Amino acid sequence: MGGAGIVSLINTITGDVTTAAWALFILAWASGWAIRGSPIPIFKVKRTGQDFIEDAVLAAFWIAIGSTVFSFISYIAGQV
Amino acid sequence: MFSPFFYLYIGMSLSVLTYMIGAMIMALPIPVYGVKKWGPRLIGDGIYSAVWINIYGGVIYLIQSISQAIGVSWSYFITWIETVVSEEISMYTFTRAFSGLLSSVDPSIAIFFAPISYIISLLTGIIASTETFIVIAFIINNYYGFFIALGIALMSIPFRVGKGIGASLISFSVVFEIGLPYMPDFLNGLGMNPLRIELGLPSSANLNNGLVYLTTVLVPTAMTSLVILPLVYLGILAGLSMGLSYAIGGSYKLPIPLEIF
Repeated sequence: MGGAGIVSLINTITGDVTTAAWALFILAWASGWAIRGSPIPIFKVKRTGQDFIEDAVLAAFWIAIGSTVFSFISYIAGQV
Repeated sequence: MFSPFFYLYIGMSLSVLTYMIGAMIMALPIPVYGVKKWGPRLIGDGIYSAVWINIYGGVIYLIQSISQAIGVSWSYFITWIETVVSEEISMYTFTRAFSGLLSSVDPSIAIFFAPISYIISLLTGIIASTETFIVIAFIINNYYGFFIALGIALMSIPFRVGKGIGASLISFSVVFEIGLPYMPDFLNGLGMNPLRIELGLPSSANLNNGLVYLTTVLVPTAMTSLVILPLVYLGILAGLSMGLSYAIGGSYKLPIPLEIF
C-alpha cells in the first residue's frame, strides 16, 4: 500500500531528525561550554558560547516535550 | 485513498516532523540569525497544524451547525439549480423551434428575426454558466471533508511549503459548503429568483411589441437573474473565502480560478 509507505517514510525521517537533534544538542552544549570557557578575552566570543548553551537547553526542552506529547497522542490515537 | 482520515494521518506525521526539524534547528550551534529564526517558527507551525488536525471533527461539526442555523439545504439547492437549468434548456429548445419554424415559412421573413440568433447564443452561454455552478456544487458537496483534510495535510509540510494552498483549500471548502446553497435565498431577497420572477406580458400581441418586450424585459432579466447576480454571489463567497484563508494561513489564494466566468 503506497499510503502507509509514505507515513512510515515520514516517521523514519522524523526518527532520524530527532536523533540528529539530540546529537546536535550535545554538540552545541559541548562547543558552547568550550567557547565560553576558552581563555580568549573577547566578550563577543564568550557571548556566542553562552548563546549556544542557552539555545541548546531550550532546544533540548522542546525536543523532550515534543517527543513526549506526540508519542502520547499517537498512543491515544492507537487506543481508540 | 480518498478517506479524509488518511490525509489527517499523513498530516499528523508531517507536523511531528516539522516540529522536530524546528527543534533540531534550535539546537544548531551556528550563530546565524537567518537560520536560527526558523527553529521557533517551525516548532510553532508543527503545533499549529497539529491543532488543526485535532479540531478537524469540530470544523465539520461547525459547518453543519452554521448551515442549520441559517437554514440552508443542499438537497433543496440541487433541486433548485437543476430546475433552473431545465427551464433554460426548454427556453432554448423553444427559441430554436420558433426560429426554425419562421425560416421554414419563407426564408425572406427570417431576416426580420435575426435577433433570435443572438438570443440563442445568449441562452447557450447562460446554460454553460449554470452548468458550471452545478459542477462546482457537486465537487464541494461531495468532497469538502476531503478538501479540508488535504488542506490540513498540506499545511503540515515543513518550511511552510503548502501553507498558502492548504489554508485556501480549507477556507474555500468551509465558505462554499455553507454559502453556496444559500444562493436561492440571496436571489429571492433581491427579487431575482429565476423560478419566481413575474414578468408580465407584452401589452399587445404584434411583432414590434414582441421584439421590444424581448430586448427590454426578457433578455435583461434573464441576464441579471441567471448570470450576473449568481456571479456577484460567487464573488462575495470568493471574497469571504480569501479573507478566511488569510486568517488561517496568511495568504489570499483561491483553489479555483474564478476568471473562468
